[in-house]
Amino acid sequence: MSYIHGLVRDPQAAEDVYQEVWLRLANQIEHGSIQNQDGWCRQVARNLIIQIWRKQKSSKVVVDSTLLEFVDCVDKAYEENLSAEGAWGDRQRALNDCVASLPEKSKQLLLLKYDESLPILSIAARLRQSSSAIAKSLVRLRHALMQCVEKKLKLLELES
Amino acid sequence: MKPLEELIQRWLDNELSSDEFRELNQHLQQPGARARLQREFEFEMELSEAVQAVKSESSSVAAFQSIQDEPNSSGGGRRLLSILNFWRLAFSAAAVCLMWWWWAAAPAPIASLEAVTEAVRIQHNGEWKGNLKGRVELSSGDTIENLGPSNVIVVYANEPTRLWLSPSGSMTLSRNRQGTRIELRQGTLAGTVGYQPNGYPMVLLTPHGEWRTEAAELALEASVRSTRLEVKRGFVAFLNRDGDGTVMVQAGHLAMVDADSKWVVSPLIQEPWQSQDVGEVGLAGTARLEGNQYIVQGTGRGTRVGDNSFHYVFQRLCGNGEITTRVVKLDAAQGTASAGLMIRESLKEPSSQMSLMVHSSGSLSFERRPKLGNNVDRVTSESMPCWIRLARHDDFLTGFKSIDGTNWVQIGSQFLPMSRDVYMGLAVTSSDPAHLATATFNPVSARSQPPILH
Repeated sequence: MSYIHGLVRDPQAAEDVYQEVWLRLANQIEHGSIQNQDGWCRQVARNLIIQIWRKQKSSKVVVDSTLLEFVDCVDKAYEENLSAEGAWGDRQRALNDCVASLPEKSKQLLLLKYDESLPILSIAARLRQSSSAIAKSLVRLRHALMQCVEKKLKLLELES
Repeated sequence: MKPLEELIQRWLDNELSSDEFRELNQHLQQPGARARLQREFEFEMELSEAVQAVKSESSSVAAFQSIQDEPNSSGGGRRLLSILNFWRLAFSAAAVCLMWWWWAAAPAPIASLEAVTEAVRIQHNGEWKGNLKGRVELSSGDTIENLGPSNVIVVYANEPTRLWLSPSGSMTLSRNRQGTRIELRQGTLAGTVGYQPNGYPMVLLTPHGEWRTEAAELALEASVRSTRLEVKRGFVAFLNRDGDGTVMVQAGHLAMVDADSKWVVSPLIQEPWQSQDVGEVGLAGTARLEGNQYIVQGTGRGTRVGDNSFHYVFQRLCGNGEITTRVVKLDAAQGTASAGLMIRESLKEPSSQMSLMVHSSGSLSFERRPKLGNNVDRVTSESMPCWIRLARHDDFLTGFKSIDGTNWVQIGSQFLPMSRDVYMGLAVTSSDPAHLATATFNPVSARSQPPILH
């Protein structure tokens, strides 16, 4: 899902692609097993995502060789580096705690970005700050949250 | 070059320029960078989940904005700003109340109806509306009656569910905390049910039971007498009216339930074969494969009348070709049933057609029927099982019969011009719209090559 989410970025479109991949996977399994299920799903998702990009006229995404090269790199990244599933639940819980402990203003910034899915410019207009200031705040926030999650996971490891 | 993390963030924020894109691709030639990219993608999704998790505990954006909007001028200016802020707040509160009242009074649409014509009626809040056109939004509890000659399309909001309701179809759609439901009273509903939330399958109700699916491509046909379901992809769980057990109908299978709750599940016939009723048949016909046997059921008025109706299992034929079968058995519920081979121009009536039909009365007829005209028959006696072959060579159609499937005897050859693209297949009719005849064909072979005329 993070593969789809990272490439599509619009939560609704990502959900549609995800559902379509699962529907096709269920159909494919009816007809026989698939050797590399993750790779198969990624390939289907990739094709659907490229179709979506081609249909999106207002988007900044232009389907050219640069973008396709990027998608190839993303494919390769997922082929090489499959995350350990067992760690996901702990990571998510740790991140939930880290976000919950943020100051109110930081939480509001994340809400505008991830709940309302506003672009940087709109967030900047809403909060009456420059878009570069908002972009930098988000980078700093993400970095701080990543460090927070790593600390919590280390503590968890020591406790277990 | 900008740092990798910054470029990845700019991609995720949809802010990446072409030059930055090329820089990002250069970075990603390194395995370490790709690992970092995957981690960032995963973190981005996890962060989105975490924000949703704490959303309810956060104060509103408006409240946050009010912190930003704190007046910082002095004296009279501050007082004026306070008054302005008060009225702004009052207006906002009134607008929110109005919107909440409107939202509570008007249920949000759950789907839309496309390709609406004046012959479609929709019941909304107990009131029937007609003379609609184009696209209409549908809320939970709405009933659709398609009285027109063409399908209407139901497109669900926020999911890729898309279903066609046939002419004479009637359905009610609803959605609550238990999920999405469709009650199909009559007609055919076909299309794709998109992936449903885990544990909340879509429920399709017909007069004969309940059908549940989490994702499928299907065709559901309901009438007072029976319900028929074809599953092309995914699977559907069937619970009959008596509620005694669940049957899974998998992709590539067909389920039939009648008014007495008798049900059967069998494999659908495979491509390039298709099956459908032709003309006004009465009870819907079916076709299934059991090993090498085609079991075909059909009703209708027959294949020799002016307005034919029967069940047809067919594939396309372009140019010359032939179809051969052995009619093993023909069960007529009552009256005279017929089963055999047919090559025709169109799947709609009237159409030019040539057929070679075995009848339950013990005869074999070679029937020529131009689109506008009378039938010309050549009738001989025949008993089952019997081998028959129908061949097309340009505008000539020739019928053959055989005792053993090896030595063939020509029954007749007729001149019947049709378009290059036609349909060839198996036709079954009970000559009685209220009763099904069942025919068994084994084997069946079809080829699109010039036939060898014996």
